[in-house]
Amino acid sequence: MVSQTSKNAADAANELTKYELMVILTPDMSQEETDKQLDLIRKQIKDLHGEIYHEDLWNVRDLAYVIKKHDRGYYAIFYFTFDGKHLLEIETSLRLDAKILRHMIVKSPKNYTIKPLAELELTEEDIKQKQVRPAKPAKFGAPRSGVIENKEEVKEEKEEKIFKAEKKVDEKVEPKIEEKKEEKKTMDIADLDSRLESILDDPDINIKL
Amino acid sequence: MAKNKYNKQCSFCDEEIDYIDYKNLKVTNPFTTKYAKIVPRYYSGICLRHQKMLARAIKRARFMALTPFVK
Repeated sequence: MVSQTSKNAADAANELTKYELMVILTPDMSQEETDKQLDLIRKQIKDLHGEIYHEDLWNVRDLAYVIKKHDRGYYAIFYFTFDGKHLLEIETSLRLDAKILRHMIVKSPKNYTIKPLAELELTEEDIKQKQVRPAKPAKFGAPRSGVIENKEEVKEEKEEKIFKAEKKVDEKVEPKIEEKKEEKKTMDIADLDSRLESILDDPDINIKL
Repeated sequence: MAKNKYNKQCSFCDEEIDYIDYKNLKVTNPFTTKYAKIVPRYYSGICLRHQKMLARAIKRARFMALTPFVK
């Protein structure tokens, strides 16, 4: 019995804990510079006997709110095994780096399966579905919740009715051809905007105003 | 006792989930309101264990600017 428990303890000691590090870099670096920055992080982990077994580069994404006057950021995630003793050293070096907007090291569970970004991200359908049907109240929840929900529903219905009525009036007044033209124009502008954005996003192009 | 029987509708318990990933917005998003607040347990019917996991995941996602603190 004693030998078994000691063996288990030894195994546990050998099995290093898995961590994942998510980093947001400033978006205004060129591709080379970001690569350098990422290499620096990789090196720091490896120097402290960590082993990166997977990494995800999400590229430049919109941030949910402004961080240090940036509304976009370069996301990178490293999955690695590590000895927890040296975690503080990595933390401090990450914290002191001015090009890293945010970082977070999280213990990942043992049976964690890594998913690609496409499976994690919200699609437009998800957002639409949420708008149609917000969180539904529990069947046997507090009675208060039910009352509030009902009131909101009634209000929404009324608003919808008003909306419909307005729309009908509009349709009668305006001829249909004009509407189509307007749609085309807006589509063109949207298309142009997306193209321009894709050009501006390219980190290797320097635009000086 | 009877109350427990009817209240059992935690979707995470049905799938036997032990960890909620903060990166997985598809899982966490339905449990936030339109102002990006965490939905209370008496609305969603989630069990306490999973509500705590959810809250942690959402708070992590907020810190990494994946979801807003307030909309």
